[in-house]
Order: sequence, then C-alpha cells, then structure tokens
Amino acid sequence: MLRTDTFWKLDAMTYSLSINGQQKTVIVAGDTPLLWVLRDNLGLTGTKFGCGAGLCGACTVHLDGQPVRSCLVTIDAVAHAKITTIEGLSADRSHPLQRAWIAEQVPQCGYCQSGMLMVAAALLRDNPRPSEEDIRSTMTNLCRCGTYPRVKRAILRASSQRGNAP
Amino acid sequence: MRQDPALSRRGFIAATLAAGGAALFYVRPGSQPAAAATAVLLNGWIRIAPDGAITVFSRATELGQGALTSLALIVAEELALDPASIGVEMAPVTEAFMDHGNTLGYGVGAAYYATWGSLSSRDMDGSMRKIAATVRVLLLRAAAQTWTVPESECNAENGVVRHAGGRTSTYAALAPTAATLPVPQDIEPRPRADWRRLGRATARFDIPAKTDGSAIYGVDVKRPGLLVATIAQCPMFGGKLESVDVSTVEKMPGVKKVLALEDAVAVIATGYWPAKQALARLRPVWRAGERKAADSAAQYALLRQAVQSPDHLFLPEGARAAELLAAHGAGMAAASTRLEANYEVPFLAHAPMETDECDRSHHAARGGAMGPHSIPIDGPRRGGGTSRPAGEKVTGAHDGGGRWFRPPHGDRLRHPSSQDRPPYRAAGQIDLVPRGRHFARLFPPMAVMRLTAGLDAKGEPTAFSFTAACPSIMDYSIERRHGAPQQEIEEAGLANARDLPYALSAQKISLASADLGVPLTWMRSVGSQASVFGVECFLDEMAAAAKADPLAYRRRLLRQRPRELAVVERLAALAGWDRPAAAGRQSWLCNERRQRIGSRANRRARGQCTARRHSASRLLCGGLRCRVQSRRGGRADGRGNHLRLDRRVAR
Repeated sequence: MLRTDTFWKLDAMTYSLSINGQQKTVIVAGDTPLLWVLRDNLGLTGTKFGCGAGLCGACTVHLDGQPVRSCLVTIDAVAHAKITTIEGLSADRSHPLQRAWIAEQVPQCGYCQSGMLMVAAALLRDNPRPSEEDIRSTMTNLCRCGTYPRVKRAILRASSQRGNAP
Repeated sequence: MRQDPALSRRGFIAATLAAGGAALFYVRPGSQPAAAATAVLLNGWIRIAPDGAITVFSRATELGQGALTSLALIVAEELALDPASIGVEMAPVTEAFMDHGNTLGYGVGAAYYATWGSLSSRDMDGSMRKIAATVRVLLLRAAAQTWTVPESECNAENGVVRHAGGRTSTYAALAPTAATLPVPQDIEPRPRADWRRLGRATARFDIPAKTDGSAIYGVDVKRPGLLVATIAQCPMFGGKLESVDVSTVEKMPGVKKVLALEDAVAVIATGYWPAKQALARLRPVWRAGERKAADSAAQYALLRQAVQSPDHLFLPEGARAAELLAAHGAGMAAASTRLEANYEVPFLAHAPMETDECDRSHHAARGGAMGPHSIPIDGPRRGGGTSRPAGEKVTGAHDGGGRWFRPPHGDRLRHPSSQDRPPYRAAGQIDLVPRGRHFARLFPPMAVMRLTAGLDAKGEPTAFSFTAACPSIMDYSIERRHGAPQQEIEEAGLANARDLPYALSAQKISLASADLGVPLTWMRSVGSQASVFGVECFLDEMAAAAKADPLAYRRRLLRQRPRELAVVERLAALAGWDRPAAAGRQSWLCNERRQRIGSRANRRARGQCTARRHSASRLLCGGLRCRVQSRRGGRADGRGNHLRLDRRVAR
C-alpha cells in the first residue's frame, strides 16, 4: 500500500518486523515510512534517504523479494512482509553483485548504491541473464555521479559469473 | 620563503589509545617521550600506534573523487607500506591543519579546511608526500641513533627499519624516539622513477563499504539525544516570513521547538519524521520580496540586454585597455568574415543525493556547524575559532553523498536568516532544506555569452571576443557579508575564457554583471561549465566558416601549444575522428582546459581534458600529464564530470 497523504496518527503502535531474517520490534506511529523505521528506529542506515518522494530509488529495499522504495511505504502496510535491506544482501559482501560492484569500481560518492544494488539483485533473481535493454529499463534509480555505465557493466559481470557457476 | 607549518611544528602529538577511541593530547617540545601504551603522531599528520597501525589525517572530504585513497597511496609510497594498511582519518579542526593549503601558495590568502578547486590531490602531492617522506627519515634517524650506526645504512620497508648489519625494529617501536628528534626541513620525497604504488590503477579503498551499507555519511551520524531540525524556506527568493501559527504542532509527539526565522520556519524534533510531519501541518504566511526578474524569460531578457554593454574588461598582465580595444577593433575591421553568436545556460539545480544537512553539536555555542560537504565547516576564522577536541572524530566530515555538494564557507551551514548564535543549544543535526522537495536553493550562475570573431580570407582569426553576462556569486557569498571587497573581475563568470589555449589574436574578454535576485554559490566547475560550452561551440562555428574540419581547425589554433594539441590528437585517435559518424549520430569536440590558480604546484600539475561525444552512448575523455595518484580513480572522476557537462549542454 502506498502512502498517498500525510495523515498523521498520534498513537504509536508496536510492530514486529522480519528484517534480514531477524525479528525486530518497534514502537512507532503506523504512518511512519519504512525508511525512517529502518534508519531511526533500527539503525539500518545503509538504506538512504534521497528525495522522500519515490523518485530517486536510494531507499530501495525488498518486501517479500520485490524492490520497493521504502520512503513511500508505511510501516503498518509492511508489518507482515519479509524485509531485506542492503545489510541483508549478504553477510560478507559475497553476493555476486557486491563482488561485481567492487570489481568494476562502480560507486563514486556511493550514496545511491544501496538502492542500485537492491534493484539489481531483484532483477538478476527474476532474470539471471538480462540484456542491456533489460538493465536499462529496470534500473531507474538516479545516480548523481553518473555511474550508470559501470552499474550496467557490473550487472552484466555478475550475470555472467552467476551463469558460469557450477 | 613560505614555511610549511606542519614541518615547523617541533612538538609532537601523542595519542592515548582509549577504549573505542583515540583521545589525542599534545606533548610540548622538551617533554618526555610518550609512554609505551600511546600512539605517536609524527610531523603533525601521521600517527603510528603501538600495534603498528598507521593513520594519516586528511583535510579533504571523500566525495567520491578518491581523495582518501590518493592520500593513503602517498603515505604508503613514502613509508614503503601496503596502501590498504593505511588508515585515513579527518584531521582535527584546528588552525594547524587548516594552514595546510597555504603551503602550496594557492593565493587564497586564508586558512581552509576544504575540498575545492580540484586541488585535493595536488595539495597532497605537494605537501603530504613531503610530510610522509620526513616521517620516513625521522624513523630512519631514530633507528640509526638507537643502534649508533650511519643513517645511510638503514632502510625502511613494510613497517620495519633494517640495518645492513641485520638489526631490525618496527616503525611502532621507533616512533616514540622519532618524535623527539628535530623535524628536518629539507627532505625530498621519493623520485617518480622509484614509485611502486603511486600512479597505478589502484582500486579505491572506500568502495567495499559502499556496497553493503556500512559507509557512514553525514546523514547517518547518530548521537545520544540527537535532535533533527527540518526547515521550510520562503518559496520566493527574497521573500520573508509574515506569520506562522505554531500552536497546532507544538504538542505533537517528538516536537521540541518551532522556530520562526526571517524567511523560513523550522521544526526541531526527536527525529526527521516527526519534524517533517509537524512542518507539513504548519501554514506559514509568506510575504513576497522585491523581484528583479520573475521568471526565466525575464531573466534571460535582462542578461541579453546586459551582455551588450559589459562593465568589466579583463586585462592580461601588462596590457592596457585602450591598446587592447584598439587591437581588437583593428582585427575586426581587417576581417573578411565576421561571426557573432549568443550561447545561453540556465540556472542548474545542484540537487545532491544526500540531503543538505549539518551537525551543530560541537559548534552550537559559537554558532558554527559541520556538514558532509566539500567545505565541511562553518568558517573557522569566523565565529571565534573552533574548539573541537584534538583527535575527536570529525562528525559531518564523513563521506559526502551526491557529489559536488559545495556549500562554501558556511553559506549552507548557517542559514542566511539565522543569527550567528542559534536560539537553542541542543545537540542537533540540522536539515536546512525542505527534504520533500529536495532542492538546494543555491545555484551556479545562469549566463548569456556573446562571442564574436573575425576571420581573414584563409579562415585565420583576426579578432575574438567573449562577453559573459551573469550575476555575481560574490554578491551572495558569506565573504561579502563579512566585508570582502568587490573583485574587479569575477572569476566565476569568465573562468576558462580568460586564458584560452587557442591562438586567437586580438582577444577581448569582458564581463557584464546583472543581479537576478537568485542566490548563488560556487558549485562544481562554477563558470567553466558555461564558458567551455560557449567557446567550444563557437570554435565549431568558426571552423565551419573557415570550411575546416573542427579537429583540423583546432590543430591550427593549437600550433604553439603542444601539450593541449597532444591531448586533442590523442582523443581524436581514440574516437576515430577520421571515420564518419554512423547515421543518426553526431560527434563534437570539447576541450576543457583545467589550469588552476597560478602557483608552481599548479603549473606543474596542470592538465586538460578533451571529450568527444562520438555517439549517444559513447563519451571519451582524457588528459595529459595530469598528476593523479590513482589512474583508475582519475578515469572514473573524469567520466563523472563529463557526464554532467554533457547533461547540461543537452538542456
């Protein structure tokens, strides 16, 4: 469910969340965006605040495996979903995309890269061998440094390595 | 002769390795050496811990340009260490570290703790190499003194000093003794021929943390009791806050205070979301101010009028205005073909990814603040100086997100409407822009450029003029508010056009100032974006009039500039300029020459980038003899710059 207004709930509620395979409990107003619960209540600051309007994609996380811009999703709408953030992509930067991101030296300032990686991870899961056009049409996140060519190369690299894996 | 303040510092700083942190304290000259349980700071900038860990202080913020990797490479080269083993930490905000920039003679005339002017690597190259080399010599001398052997028989490598006779000692063991030795002033860094780490395609050390969310940006900093403020500014430039009813939000959960400012209203709360919710419920009433140009059409009209009557003429050293104007007039009169064109660039919203913010927690008492920006502090020489405890981690000087975010000299850290001393003292992280709109309301100037040229029958230029009409950045700077004088010619409006490499005879470069009522600042590249666009496009027009290929025409104009010509030739070869572009594709050349403020370091390090847009998806850029510590980082940085330039031109 998307938050479409600024309705303000005075009453905080207790929510039990499944985040990166762990159960977490938070007490927040139900209309609080997931982004701010992650960052301010749970200390998962890898998910970034960019525009707050669902435009830039820096706050992208997975809800039940689907990429979602967490600044637009209220906590009461996602309380029963499995949430994966950049911190949960792998425990040791071993995800093929993280390895490819380092090999291709993708980030510059890096602020958008958490969201980029989460979108790319969902893309590769659904489409292990994406074409360049698939990548272009899926990767709609914004990067202020202009890392788009390296993002594309890293996704292709990860796709290739994953395909060659035994 | 200018003296390096770091090298002249006779004392040393010892760092007590407290649990979870490093509380530094200064040890005066003549004091006893640090105890065995302390880390030692040698030559003011490089800290060696008892366990061998080596950390260097940086004054440059990592904004994605690879500055901290370059710094680690420099220290590693001089100390013969693995670059990945070098830790980099933001320097304490004290005058001693800010003086660093002045050692290179940039002519800025003030102490800076800043990342600006594409100077970080050059700054490090010029002084940090010498500082690190001096530390190496101090360690060698400490070993020689301890072993009573000639220094020349000792060698430093991989954290160990070895004597030819077989004795060894670690850098860490030698550091306390080294810190008591006089700091030599005349140490030369390793010659380039001996480099084994610098100048190679080194992977950046900050990248892994940017792939798993562990990199900490300014917006990620947490402190006990942290308060967050967010602000709504008057939607009209020059407008004021008429009134606001704060009673509707004062009792909202988490809200601590609502501030009615001169042209803004701010909410301070326990977190961003409660602050944002409260701000959204406020209904401030704004009063429009006097507006000189209400919209883009009016702004362009004002600049098009201004460009016809420039009020500043740029005079090269030794030139006289009357003679310069006469020569230009004669050149135009002698031309068989006369060209004239206007090029226009709009205001460009800087729009960094990371929101504009700052941390006032340590500087609140002085009205200062820090932010994750290229100029991260509110000017230290204003506000009574800084008192950050030495060695404390510099909050806010973390990775800067969104690139090129440059609130210079505290302009953004101190909201224009706020007083030097804010009316609260709580530790607070201040969000200075309405985050929902994500709009940093300071701009590089829009400009209208008028270019003229005269060509003779062979297409050779007989005269050339460039006039930029643009508003003055200085008029909106905090320096001007603090009494900085009016510059005769403002660099931002002319930038590269003042010193073109091309053989353009009878040049006339001038500026027309026209205030548009829109606040400005020195964003990335400042006037270069506009002037490069105008000059290079006009060169293509001149080439067309001369019935010459754009590359061939530039070759003619760069005959006396072999460095610049070599770059152009290299890029043309890479791009396959001689081959026709594919159907539907266009190619163009752009020579953005980056010669920095005159100094010996800059002349030595100058380079230029030339780009040719070969197709919709291919962009080539390159440089010649640019001094880069990591070629890989330099390439990435260049690509990013040109992508941005490309976007602006495409508007």
